[in-house]
Amino acid sequence: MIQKKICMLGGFAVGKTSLVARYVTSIFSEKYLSTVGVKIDKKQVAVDGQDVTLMLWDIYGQDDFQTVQASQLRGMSGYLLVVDGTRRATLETARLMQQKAMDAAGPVPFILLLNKSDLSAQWELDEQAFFKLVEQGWRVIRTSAKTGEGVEPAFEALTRAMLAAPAAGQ
Amino acid sequence: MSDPVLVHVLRAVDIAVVERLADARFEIVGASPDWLEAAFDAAPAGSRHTLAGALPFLDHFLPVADAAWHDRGAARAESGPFVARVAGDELLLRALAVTLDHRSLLLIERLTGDADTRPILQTAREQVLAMEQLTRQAAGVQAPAAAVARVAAELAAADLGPAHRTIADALAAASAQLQAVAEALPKPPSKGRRFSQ
Repeated sequence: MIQKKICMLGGFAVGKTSLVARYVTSIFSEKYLSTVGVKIDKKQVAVDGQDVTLMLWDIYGQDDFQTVQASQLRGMSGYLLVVDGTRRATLETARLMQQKAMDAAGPVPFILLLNKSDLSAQWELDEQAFFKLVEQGWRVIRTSAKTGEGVEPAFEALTRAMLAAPAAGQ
Repeated sequence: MSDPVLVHVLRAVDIAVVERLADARFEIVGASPDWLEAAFDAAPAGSRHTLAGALPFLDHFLPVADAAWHDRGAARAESGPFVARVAGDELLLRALAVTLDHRSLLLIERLTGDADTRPILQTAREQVLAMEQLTRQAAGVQAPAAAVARVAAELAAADLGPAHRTIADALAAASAQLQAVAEALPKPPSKGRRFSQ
C-alpha cells in the first residue's frame, strides 16, 4: 500500500490538531490543548481506486516558544497550511511556514486551509486576502473542525494531488 | 548495562535503553518501562514487535540516529519531543541516539515533571491568545478615543460663550483622560515581529 506523509503546519491555536481529530475520529473538542512535539496519526483512505495510508504529522504551532525544525518536514509528500480566519497574523505565519516547507521538502503539493469558518462573523481575513492567495496559485479551502465543513474534501484533495505529483517523498 | 544499580536508575528516571544490533534489529537493554511495553502491545498487529511500529515517530528518527551511530556527522542525535498515545494517555517522549563502547544505543526518555513542558506552554499560549483578544478590543477603543480628542480640540479652539467654554473644557479634560487610558492599552505588534525565526 502507498504511504504518504502529510504535515499540518501553521501558527499555534489555528486548529491543526482539531482538524486531524475531526478527520481521523470525527471528534471535536472546544477545549484548546496546545500541542508540544509531534503527534502522528494514521488514516487509510481510498482515492480514485488507490489505497493510501496517510501518516498525519500534527506538528506543534510555530511561535516564540517553539520553532518547527526542517528535519521534521523532510520526506513529506504534502502539507496543509492552517490559518485561523479570526486571527490575521496567522496568515503571516502560514506564509513563513510555506517557505520553510519549500526549503525542506521542495515543491510538494499543499493546500491552505482557512479554518474556523463557523466563526466567520469574527473573521479578520476578508475576501481580498483570500483572492490574493488564489491569484498566487495557492489552493485555498475554507474549513471548520467544529462543523466538519471542508475537512474531508481538503484531505482528499491533497491526497489526490500527492498521488498525481512526482514520486518524491514516498 | 549489566550493573543492576544502573538498570534501576534508568527505570527510576523512566528511560528505556534500546540497542541496535548488527542485523539491524533492536533489543531492549535492561528492564523495559511499562509504558514501552504498553506501546508495543498497542502497535498495529503487523508491526507489533518493531520499534517504529510501537512508536511511529521513530520511523522518521532512526535514519538520523543511524547517521550518529555510524559517526556520519554528529556523534549523537536528539529527536526533540514527540507524543505517543499509549493506553489512552499521551506520553511526551524524547529519543537520544548515542554510541557508547562501540554499541549503538537509543535512549528513549519519558518527559515528566519539569521536563514535561506542556502545562507551561499551554499557559503561555493561553496568555498570548488572551493578549491578542485584549489587543483587538483595545483597537475598538483607541480609534473612537482619538476621534473624540480631535472633536474636543476643535471645540476648545472655537469662539465660545462662557457656558459653552465650561462644557468644552470639561470635555477636553475627560477626553485627555480617555486618550491616556486608550494609549496605555496594548497595540498590535509591528508587522514581521510576530515571533523569532
